[in-house]
Amino acid sequence: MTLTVQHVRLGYVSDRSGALIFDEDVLVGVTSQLSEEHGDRVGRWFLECGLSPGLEIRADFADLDELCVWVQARLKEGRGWDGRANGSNVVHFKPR
Amino acid sequence: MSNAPSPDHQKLIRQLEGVVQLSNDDRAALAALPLRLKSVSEKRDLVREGSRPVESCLVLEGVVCRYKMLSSGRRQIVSFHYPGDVPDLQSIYLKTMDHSLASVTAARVAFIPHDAMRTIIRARPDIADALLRHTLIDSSIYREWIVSIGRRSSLERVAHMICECFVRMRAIGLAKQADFELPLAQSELCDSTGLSLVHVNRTLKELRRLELIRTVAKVHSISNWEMLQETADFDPGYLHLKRLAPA
Repeated sequence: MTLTVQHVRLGYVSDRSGALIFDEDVLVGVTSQLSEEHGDRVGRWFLECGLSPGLEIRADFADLDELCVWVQARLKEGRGWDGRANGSNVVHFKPR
Repeated sequence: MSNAPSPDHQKLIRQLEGVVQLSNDDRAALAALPLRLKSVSEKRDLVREGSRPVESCLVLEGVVCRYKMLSSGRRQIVSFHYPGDVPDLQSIYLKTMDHSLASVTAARVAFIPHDAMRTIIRARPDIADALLRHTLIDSSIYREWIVSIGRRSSLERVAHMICECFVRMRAIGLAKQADFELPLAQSELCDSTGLSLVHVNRTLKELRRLELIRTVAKVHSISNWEMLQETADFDPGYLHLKRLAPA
C-alpha cells in the first residue's frame, strides 16, 4: 500500500493549506494544516474527513508523514490489508 | 421546623419552587435535610461510573457535568448542571452509576443521603412532584442535545450551547446578558457538542466574525443575544422555565 499526498488549498478562512491523501487512485482523506488560530497546535495536520471505514475519528498530527502512518494503520485494520509495504511509504506531490 | 433555611438549603428550595408551589411545611422539610458539604477544584470527578452511591449530589456553586467515557478515552459530556440542580437524583433508585459526575469549574456541592431523600419524597407529594418535574426537564434537555448533535451544524450547535448555558444561569439569577461569561472551556464545548477542538475553534472564530460573541482571555461573552439565538435556532421552551427573567 502506497499513500500519495496531493497538496491543495482549502476554502476555510484561516486553515487554507491542505492535502488530499490517496491510497493508489482512491481518495481516503482530506487534511488541513492548522493555522495560528489554533494556538499551540499551529502547523499540525488535521484529518478533516476520512473516506474509508476506520477513518471517522478527527485527530491531528505533528506532520503529514505521521498522519499518513496513522491512516495506513487504520486502513489496514479496516480492510485486512496484508501489510507488505514498510513504513509510511508516502509520496508527496507538489502543490497545484 | 421554625429555623430559616440555610443559604445552601435555599438553593434547593428555590430550584424546586421554580416548578411547583411548595408549602411552608415542604420548605421546612427541605431545610432540615442533612447536607455533607464538599468543595472541589475544576475538572474533578465527584461520582464515578460503576460506583454505588448512597447520597445524591446537590450543586451549590459552579458548574458540574455528567459524562460517559469510551474505552478509548474519548469523553462525551451528556449534561451540564448549575446551582440548585441534583444531577444524580437517579442514583436513589438506579443503584449503579451508568455515567460519571465531575466538576467543570471549581464547585461547591452538598451530598444528601438517599435515605433522607426517600423519606422526604414519600412524605411530601409536592416535593416528589418537583423532583419528578426536574427529572423530566432533564430528559427534555437530553432530547434537545440529541437534535443538536444529530442535526445541527457546528455553528448552530456551539451557538445553541452558549444560549442554553446563558438562559439556565439567568434563570437562577447568576447571569445577565451584559456580564455573562461562559463558564465552559473549549474542551467542554468539544465534549458536549461532539465536535473536535479544531472545529470548535473555527466555530468560535466564526461567531466572533459575525459579532455574536466576543472573547477576552479565552472567556466568551455574548455580543448580540438576538442574533445568537437566531443563528442557533434556539427556542428556550424545552427548558420549561417557569421564570424567564428579562435579559
